[in-house]
Amino acid sequence: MDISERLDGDLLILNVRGDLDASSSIQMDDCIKHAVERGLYKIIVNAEQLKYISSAGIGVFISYHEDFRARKGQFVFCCLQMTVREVFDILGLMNVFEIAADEKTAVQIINEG
Amino acid sequence: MKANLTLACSTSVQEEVRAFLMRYFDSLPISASEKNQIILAIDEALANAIIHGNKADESKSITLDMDVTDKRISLEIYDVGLFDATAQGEESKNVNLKEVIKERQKGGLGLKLIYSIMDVVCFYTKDDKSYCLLVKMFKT
Repeated sequence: MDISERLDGDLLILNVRGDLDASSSIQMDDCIKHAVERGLYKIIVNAEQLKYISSAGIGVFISYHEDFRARKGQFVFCCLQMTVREVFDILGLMNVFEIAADEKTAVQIINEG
Repeated sequence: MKANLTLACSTSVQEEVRAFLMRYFDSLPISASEKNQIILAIDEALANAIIHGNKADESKSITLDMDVTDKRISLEIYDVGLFDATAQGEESKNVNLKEVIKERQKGGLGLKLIYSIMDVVCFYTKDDKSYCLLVKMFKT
């Protein structure tokens, strides 16, 4: 898995490429931990090139969800491939996380809070 | 169609196993969605055995036995770990998502995925080995 970051004010955009599984979830956790250390709680996960996500990958985002909300932040996911969207569906996460069709919409959602 | 894989007990093998399964299931008369979900369930069961069953001890191995027909897949994952998922099987099926979020849990959803996708999920121990049996009847 490969993560590239872009910072736009207090908004962090993560472009995630490859597979987010039990092995690579540690890397994602480190990435978010680093964002938190910098006081960044508004994160867009652009999943256009994310081919696969397992429960371990999703668990990383879930573990930060409450703390982010408490700080008026959140994760917004965009450009989900069908494989990834189905995992969110099965787990009932479409009502937990904001999912946007594209990055522009994700930015609007996160800025509107 | 039968296959037997013996794997090092490490999460680093999982990506390769998923790629193998993707190729292995290529000829099956199932949709891409169903194929992806079955691979996800197998991957979750494998992660359980590696992480919870064997603490990712690479000196150990995990075996995956598959028997695939055009109607169903039957698969057993077994190891020498001590993880007993039987106790939490039913509970994991109905895991409370709100609780998982509230408790800031990183884990707890893998078994829910397995139970949601597969038709038969059975954990048992035999001869000091922990087994996970998964069966899926194909929709198409």
